[in-house]
Amino acid sequence: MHKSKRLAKALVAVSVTLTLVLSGCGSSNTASKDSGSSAGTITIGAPVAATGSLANEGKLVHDGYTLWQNVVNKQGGLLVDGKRYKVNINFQDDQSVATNSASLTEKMYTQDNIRLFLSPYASGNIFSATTVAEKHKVPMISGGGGAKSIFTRDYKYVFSAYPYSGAYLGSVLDLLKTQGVKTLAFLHADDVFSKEADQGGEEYAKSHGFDIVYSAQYPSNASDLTSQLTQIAQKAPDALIGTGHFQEAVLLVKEAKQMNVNFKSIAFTVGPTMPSFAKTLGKDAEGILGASLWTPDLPYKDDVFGTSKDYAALYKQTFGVDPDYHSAMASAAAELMGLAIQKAGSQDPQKVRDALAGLGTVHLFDGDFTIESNGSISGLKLPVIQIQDGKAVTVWPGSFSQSFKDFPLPAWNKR
Amino acid sequence: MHLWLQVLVNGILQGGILGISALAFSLQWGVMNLINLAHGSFQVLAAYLAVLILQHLGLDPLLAVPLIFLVFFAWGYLVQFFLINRVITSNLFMTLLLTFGMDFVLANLMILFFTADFKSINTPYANSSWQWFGLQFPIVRTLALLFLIVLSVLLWLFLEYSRPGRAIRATSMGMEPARLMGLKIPHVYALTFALSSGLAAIGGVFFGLSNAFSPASGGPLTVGAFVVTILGGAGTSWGPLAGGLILGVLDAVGSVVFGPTYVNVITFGLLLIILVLRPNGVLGRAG
Repeated sequence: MHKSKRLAKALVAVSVTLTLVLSGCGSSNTASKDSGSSAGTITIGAPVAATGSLANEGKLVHDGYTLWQNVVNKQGGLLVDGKRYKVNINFQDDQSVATNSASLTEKMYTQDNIRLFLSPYASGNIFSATTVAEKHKVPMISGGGGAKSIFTRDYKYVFSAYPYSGAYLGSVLDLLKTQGVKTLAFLHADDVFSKEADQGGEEYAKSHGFDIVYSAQYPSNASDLTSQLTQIAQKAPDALIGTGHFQEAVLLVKEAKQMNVNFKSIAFTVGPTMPSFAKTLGKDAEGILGASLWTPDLPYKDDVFGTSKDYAALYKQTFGVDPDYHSAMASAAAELMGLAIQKAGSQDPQKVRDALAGLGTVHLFDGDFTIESNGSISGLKLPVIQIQDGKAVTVWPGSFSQSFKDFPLPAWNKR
Repeated sequence: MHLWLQVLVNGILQGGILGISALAFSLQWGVMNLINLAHGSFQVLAAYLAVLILQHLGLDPLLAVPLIFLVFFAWGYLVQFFLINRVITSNLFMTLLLTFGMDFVLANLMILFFTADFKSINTPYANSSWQWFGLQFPIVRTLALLFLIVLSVLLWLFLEYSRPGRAIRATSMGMEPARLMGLKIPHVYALTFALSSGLAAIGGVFFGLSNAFSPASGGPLTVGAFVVTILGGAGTSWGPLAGGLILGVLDAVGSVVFGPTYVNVITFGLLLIILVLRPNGVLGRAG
């Protein structure tokens, strides 16, 4: 009995230690310690999820920010007022909880004396973290989401590399229009991003002559949508547009097949762009469209990363996997921060904020866009991808459309 | 007409998925007064184990069910015997704290070993269905319901007629009298948790076949099992089946009548009504 008691104590101790170690893992400091000949270090705070339900995308954003930091430091650092400064991104794990994003931003401001910030992942978390940045009058750039509600609060210190969520579906609908699609069914999750993306998509569809025959909102993390698919099947729309999260996109494809509900085309805002989508669904993923924000095929370039293809190659070399748009958008947000610091010639938060507001139209590796007066961006041309032979292929805009195929999609039982 | 029949079928089949997940949770709660907050993570871990077995041994997840059951049975026994037994006799808060901690550790270990990427168990039949009378019966969901019925019968037989089963029931009726009758309570508890871990793992395999999952998927599973257990009644062999069917059908019909947004309102509204009218669940013992 005594022996087992002691063993139990040891087990408890191990589990407690593990808990502590793992929660400690959240805050990591990935900057290179080598300061070389630089005049100093500019520290940027980033409360990005490493654990919790957003850990997956949080990692992509983390890697996007990190890649920029690595590249800038390799190039000698940022040139600020004639001197070179290394950059150091201070990551803290918000555990996917929006209130943590805010409290960590507060902590980094008050305890760590950080004055420049890159955003967490997910619009809800950004919404919460930016309230703290605004309160302390320090700039925060969103590299993890673009809900309109973030930018309608008259904030002066919040900027973004993301287009509005409501703009995501425009390119998909343009593409479907060229294929003669008339009727659409919309299904979306109930979070801020999905609602806005769906609303924007439905408005765009109506104004472009589509007929919306079904539209419904389901709770996030839904584990069964068969009854919605049964309803949709009765209306027999040409295309299904799903706006939600990765697991719900996978669920919809699985259940559409199980219920034998066929569409001429299926498109999702989140899901197909991630490599695990095709891996998870196998041949059932073939031909499905994804609204993307960036692909390596896009014909843009800048001084830090080079072309989109260079970016993709560097990313793969660094992290061992192909980049997803989440990482590219995060890198672009970090790049904006770098541009603003160099333009301001200072790391003073007020000067950096003014420089950001005055950047106007920028040309980055992910595209050309304009910083609007409310901190959001406009003008970014969004690509559409299609799963072909297990890979995401760019099929929109314009010249890419010749690679579009599988229309209408083959019936599930013919795959 | 066809729409409503199909929706009814969808609801009944979803009831199978919900019920099979709640089987273990209900047993733990009913016998040991243990609300296992790590329940969902146990199930997700079983889904990962099924993926590993499929990838490395090429063994179909449904054929691997006995193996997965045994692994989780053994593991569950150890966890209860060496960890949960230490706090099970103190107040409920301590067991909540311990299982919450276990959930946290498990979820993060899974991120460490399997990454935060989503996975799904992919078998040729995972996305197929049988067609009867013009209605669709997805294979995995139909099998889940059949498994649930068979497991409920087996569990009932085990608890009713076998010696260890009677020991478990005796302990659930009163720990002190059972101890005085010569039962070794720590072993009875460990056996209960072992059995329920095995059952949880079977539920996890079906979850992995029907959904995409990541290490963070455990939370919603625990909540689902919690609701089904309250509806059906904790610690009864038939409670999970009854609770699952009630919830599955109500959610399916409700989501068509009121829209899927209101599924959670229906679920938790029903939970409130049951808690007020029949606090021990529709099949629960009289309190």
